[in-house]
Amino acid sequence: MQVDVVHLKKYFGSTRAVDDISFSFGSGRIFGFVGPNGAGKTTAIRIMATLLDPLEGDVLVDGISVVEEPEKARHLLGYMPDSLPTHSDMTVHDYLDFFARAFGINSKRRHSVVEEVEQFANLMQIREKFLKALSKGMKQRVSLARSLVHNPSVLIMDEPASGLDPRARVELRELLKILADQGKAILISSHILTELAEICHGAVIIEQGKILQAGSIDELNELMQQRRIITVRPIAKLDEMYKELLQTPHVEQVSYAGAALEIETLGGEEISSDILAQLVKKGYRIAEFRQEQADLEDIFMNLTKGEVQ
Amino acid sequence: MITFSGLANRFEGMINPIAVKELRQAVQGKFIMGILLLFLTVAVIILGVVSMLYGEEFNDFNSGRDIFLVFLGLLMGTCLLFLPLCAGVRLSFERADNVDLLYATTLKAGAIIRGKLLSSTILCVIIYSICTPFMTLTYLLRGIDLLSIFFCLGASFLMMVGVFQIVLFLASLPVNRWFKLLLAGGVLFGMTMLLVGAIILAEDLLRSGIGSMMTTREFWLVLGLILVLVGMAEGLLYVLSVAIISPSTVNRALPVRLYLTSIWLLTGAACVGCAFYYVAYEVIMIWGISSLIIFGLTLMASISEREVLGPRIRRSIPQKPLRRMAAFFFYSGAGGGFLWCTLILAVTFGVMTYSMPFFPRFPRLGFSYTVEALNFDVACVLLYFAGYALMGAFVRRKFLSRWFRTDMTWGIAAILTVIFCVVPIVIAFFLKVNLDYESNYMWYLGNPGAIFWFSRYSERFLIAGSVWAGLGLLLNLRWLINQINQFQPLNNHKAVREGS
Repeated sequence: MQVDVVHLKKYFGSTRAVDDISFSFGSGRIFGFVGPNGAGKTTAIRIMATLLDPLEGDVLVDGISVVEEPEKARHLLGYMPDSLPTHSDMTVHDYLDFFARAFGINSKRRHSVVEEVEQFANLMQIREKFLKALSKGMKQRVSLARSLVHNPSVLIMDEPASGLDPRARVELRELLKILADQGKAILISSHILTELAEICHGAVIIEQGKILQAGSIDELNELMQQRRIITVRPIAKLDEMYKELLQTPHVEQVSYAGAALEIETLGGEEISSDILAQLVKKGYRIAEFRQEQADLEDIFMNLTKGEVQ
Repeated sequence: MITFSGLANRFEGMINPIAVKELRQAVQGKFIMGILLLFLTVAVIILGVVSMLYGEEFNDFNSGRDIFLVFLGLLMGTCLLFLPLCAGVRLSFERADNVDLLYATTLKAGAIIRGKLLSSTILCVIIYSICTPFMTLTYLLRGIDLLSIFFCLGASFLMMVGVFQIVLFLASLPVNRWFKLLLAGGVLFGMTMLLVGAIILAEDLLRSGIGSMMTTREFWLVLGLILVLVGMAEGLLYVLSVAIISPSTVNRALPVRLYLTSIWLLTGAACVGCAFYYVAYEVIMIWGISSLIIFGLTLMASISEREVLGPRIRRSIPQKPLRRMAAFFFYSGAGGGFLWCTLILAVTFGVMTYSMPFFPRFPRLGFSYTVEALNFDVACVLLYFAGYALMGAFVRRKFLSRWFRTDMTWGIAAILTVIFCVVPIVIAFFLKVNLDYESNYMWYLGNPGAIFWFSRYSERFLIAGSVWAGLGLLLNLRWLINQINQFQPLNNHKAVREGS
């Protein structure tokens, strides 16, 4: 199963919500769709879920176009929106049963299918509870179960972790890992990057409708290796070292971080080593010298400017 | 047993999911139970009070009818006030909150409306089935017969189903919260009026004796005609509701235009046939005038449709030129909509005019007002309509496109109409022109309805209407040609290539 987003465009008047984005993700992979608020994530996701028509481009789910054959594509797609279930006067079981019916699952299979997703999402204990009586975390689980009720090969999730407490987030993460292990292709949009960094195999970073960077987490990390942050803590002469570093080649930026300095450099490990050697040669006594490991959040913060249209 | 189970499974699979959901929500919400208990309590109280008040007079000739009418009022009041409100409010909230989820399934928009209608009808059947035995017992008293009881119950039930569809249509409208509140108020007022009217009509029918009427041919003809007309109107509301809640990415106009065209053709054929059979031009006139009114209004709605088609719609445009030309009239789009309405209006007017020589006599419309004059005036009003619609489209596109979307074109056309009706009169007022003189008709030339007051100058109004429509067409000609030229099928994956 492969999902190909091909030159997707969607404009709302003069606002370019999605501006020619292309990327792919496949079975057994969790792909992060990262961007600040207003970046165009939800618009792109709604196009993928067949809810919006693109201005140009297409999304091919295993070769099936969401533009040409949305009905076929819907059988393959599970969509979890950023809004929670609002049918407050329905029980969890009836809610899931309704969506199973809406997907045309016949009564023979429906009972077992609904029970399976209830078990998977750990909803068996609360299946007879009304939706209005559920917490946000529980509702998110119901929403996840709903998107799985027709056993889709692709799962598209719009901000599933927003508003969840830490425990619910961990549980959601575990469920997503299981689903990826089952061979589902998962696209998950979020701006809570710590969530994604731990479970994603790859990510697309988007801002103002354009892709800033895309690739596997390793590829993105490699990219970040070029731009690294070094923390240096001298025993003394902090201000003197600050001035010294500003004149050092390959140093992009220097800032105070308590009793230490944070140096942003462009280049590999050799550059870091050269900086350390130069500081020692100039007579500074170094108590601490460490390179920060770049994570998805660093990549995101570095690439995006937080601008909206 | 296996066969029965298989059949049961198959039947369950055929049930509309929305209907199942709605019924479950209604039952779990204890709504129906509440209504039934309320109805029964009020019914028992009223029956008790009536028994005590009537006493010995309980055996008079009208007691059965009176009590039946009280029950009928209660039953209809309960169903009219609660069931449509419940269905409408729920659909309205779902439209605002999470209708997207329904679109992410394989459910069609039509299934959503049918499901809502079916669930409301089933709830109505439940309430009626509980109340019917009580109401039938009034037969034991005097003044009413079984036939009348069942006729009134049947007619009121059909009325309920009609009201459900009206409310579902109103609930589908994409309007803001305040307008929804306004609509709800209007619906409540309308329901009350309908209830009062229905009870008065039922009393009238019961007094006249429905049983005796049923033996006449006219009764069934009138009843059949009413049912057909109401059925057609309900069908229109259904296709409109489906079109409104359909995603904007599909060809929403197709079911509506197909339905309207079919109804127009069928009724037209039936009316022309009847007119020639009975030698009665009135039938053609009634069909023509109602078609002109309906399609005149549709013209305003059509001009407010989208101007750019999405790729999903464009991919379904036929490749062959002839089929594409026919499809242009039935696809969402302001240009196609305008031409479709204009074509139907022109054909209708043509039928009304060119069928006249075949009839020896015409109905009298007034002291000196002839059918020819009416047709002339109607043609003039239609030219004004087309003119204002086209001007609205031009003004929006050229000057107001930053502030008004295409779907607001009808509003701009309406504002233009009001401006051209009112401003000349205001100017005339300041210029101290005496508008009572018929010779000052020119101050009313912008008013499409004024032709009916200034019949002596109807030719001038026709000229003004023609100039207005012609000017509108001229200003929009390029846009209209562009609309036709742009109506081309999108090649498979062209969108992908465009972006690469």
